[in-house]
Amino acid sequence: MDQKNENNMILIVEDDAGLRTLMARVLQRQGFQTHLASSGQYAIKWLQENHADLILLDFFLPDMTGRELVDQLRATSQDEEIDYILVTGRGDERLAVDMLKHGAHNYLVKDQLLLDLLPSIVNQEMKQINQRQRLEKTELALKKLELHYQTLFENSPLAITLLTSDNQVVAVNDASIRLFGSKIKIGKKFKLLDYLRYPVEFFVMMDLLEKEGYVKNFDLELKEDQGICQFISVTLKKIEMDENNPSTILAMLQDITERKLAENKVLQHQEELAHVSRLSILGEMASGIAHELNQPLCSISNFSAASIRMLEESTGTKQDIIEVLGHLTRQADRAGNIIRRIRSFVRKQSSKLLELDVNDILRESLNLIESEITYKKIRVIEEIPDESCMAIVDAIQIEQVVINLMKNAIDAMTDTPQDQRIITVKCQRRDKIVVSICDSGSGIKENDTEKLFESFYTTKKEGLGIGLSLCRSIVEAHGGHLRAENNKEQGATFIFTLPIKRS
Amino acid sequence: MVEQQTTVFVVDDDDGVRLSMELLLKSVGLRSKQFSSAIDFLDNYDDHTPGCLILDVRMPEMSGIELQQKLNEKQISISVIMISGHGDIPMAVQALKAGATDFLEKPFREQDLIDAVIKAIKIDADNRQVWMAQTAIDEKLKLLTDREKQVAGLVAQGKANKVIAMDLGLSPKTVEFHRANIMDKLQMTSLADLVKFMMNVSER
Repeated sequence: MDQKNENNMILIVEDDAGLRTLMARVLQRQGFQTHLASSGQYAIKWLQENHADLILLDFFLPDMTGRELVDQLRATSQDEEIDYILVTGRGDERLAVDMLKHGAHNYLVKDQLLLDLLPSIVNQEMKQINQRQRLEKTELALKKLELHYQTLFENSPLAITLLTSDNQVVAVNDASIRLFGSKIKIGKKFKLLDYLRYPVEFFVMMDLLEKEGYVKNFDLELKEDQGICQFISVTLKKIEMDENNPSTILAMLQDITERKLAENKVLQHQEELAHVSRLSILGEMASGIAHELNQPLCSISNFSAASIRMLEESTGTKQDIIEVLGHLTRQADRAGNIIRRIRSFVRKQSSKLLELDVNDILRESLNLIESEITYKKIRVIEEIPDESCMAIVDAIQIEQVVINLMKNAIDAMTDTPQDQRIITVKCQRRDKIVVSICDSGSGIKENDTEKLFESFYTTKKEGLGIGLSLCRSIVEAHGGHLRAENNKEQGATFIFTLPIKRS
Repeated sequence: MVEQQTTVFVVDDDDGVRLSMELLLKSVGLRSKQFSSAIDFLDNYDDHTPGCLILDVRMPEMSGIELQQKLNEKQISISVIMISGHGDIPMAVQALKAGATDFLEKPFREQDLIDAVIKAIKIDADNRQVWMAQTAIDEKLKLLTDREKQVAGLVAQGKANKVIAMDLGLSPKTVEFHRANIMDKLQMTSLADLVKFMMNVSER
């Protein structure tokens, strides 16, 4: 008994009750499920609620012909195939040929061989039917799967595009078309580069793709006059579709204008706050700076008076006077430099990231705060290495951090005896750049080391509590960290890190 | 004592300021000596040199005010001109109270500095003259014995020999003897000279 046949239902439509039963018995012995129908109407009715894999159909039924029955079934069953084997009387071969043309799988003649032939013919046909059904099932599943993917692809909020290595568009989804409109079309070339505000970013991105094989969330700014959005985030992946297209690029783009604008707004607020803070720092240093500026001005005035007198009273040679005027010029340059330093420090500008030596920024900061250090009689030990410490930074912002930390160190040493006032400024180049500012002041109250960095937290009478929280934001925006710790002996150390830029 | 050349001492931590001061002072024919720190000055200063001292209030290590205090402690009486940057008025007051002859705010007119220097040199010269006269008197006074100083003081007060003898419990003859010795030692001929001399002594 064939196990496989258990799942196959055969409907036997035959008005001869004896034959019907015999056929059923033979087929059941083969393992088939059977159902018996004595009329066309009954068969139709039964098939409305049940499924038969194969019908054994007698042509001459009491209420209709087999052909009529097949037609009616076809009319109601839409796409479903009607699989049947015609059973006819001897001498009805012409009829059989007609019905074979009309879709019958085979035919059986009602004679003494009928029951002997029945199993092999049914088995043979059923095999084919099963095969076809399996194929249909697979096809259906594939179609379903394709539909799922299609739905996912088309409804994704990400603009998904497949491109060949020479920018030929292979596939796009609705979101791509929403984003780029008619600029993107299957079969046409699409060059993202043409729409970018800063083309250099594109090459950086493609370089990354070449090296890594993928690029994740690369943010790009687009040209304003293209009618596209302002910012997009790009994810790229190199994929192998088939042998003909060895290097297809999967591009997933997302409109991030809203997020970017919000970020920019936050950034702008922070920049404004930083600017106000710089002005306030400068205000606190005004007296020292005025003193610093007075030195060259005083020298200039002296040099010029000296040269006038030398000329009036002919007490100097031409060479002497030229020398004095040379000194004068140098002092004027010096005054100019002080002013330039101050101006650049308080200038209101949007963040400008450049590859710079952190050591230079440290030296510049110490220059700016020098008069304050001198006035407060503080010894500054500079442990700045000769080798450069390159990082991608906004010089003014890092200068602001250094000056803020220096000012805190100076303030913390108000009650320290003069001969013990020491600030050590150290820069080290490890896996990152580590800058530390160590004072010998009053230190930090035990629990305050983290609280210090909260906005509006202050231990100073005149303080706003913005300085350190701003410093931390600045450092973190540069991809570094800022923390504080008390020294073992005396005072506190503030340490910030910056990611190193390797050449 | 060797006569020293009048010198303007300048103490300022700023190289440019020092050099410009030197040239400015030179242009009006004044000799100057520059020091970059108060300590450097204190280590090298010879108080026999006449002149004046120009000091910057704001310097690392020891400020101008602190140097002025140190000089006062050491009873060095050189005239001091204090120079400050912006907004150091309380310091100006402090410096003047401590005996500075002048106070200038940077940047100053060069004429103001020169005037102040000339004034300070003059004050210093006067001080030195008084001091030298005083030294001469002190030297002469050292020639007298204690008893003779006592007698000279009473004579200068216009007391008669007899009264002096009574006050000191001496005989008028002894007083007479002391008096002759005093006149002899001080190389004086008249009572008026002695009175004048003793007035300068008591002024101290």
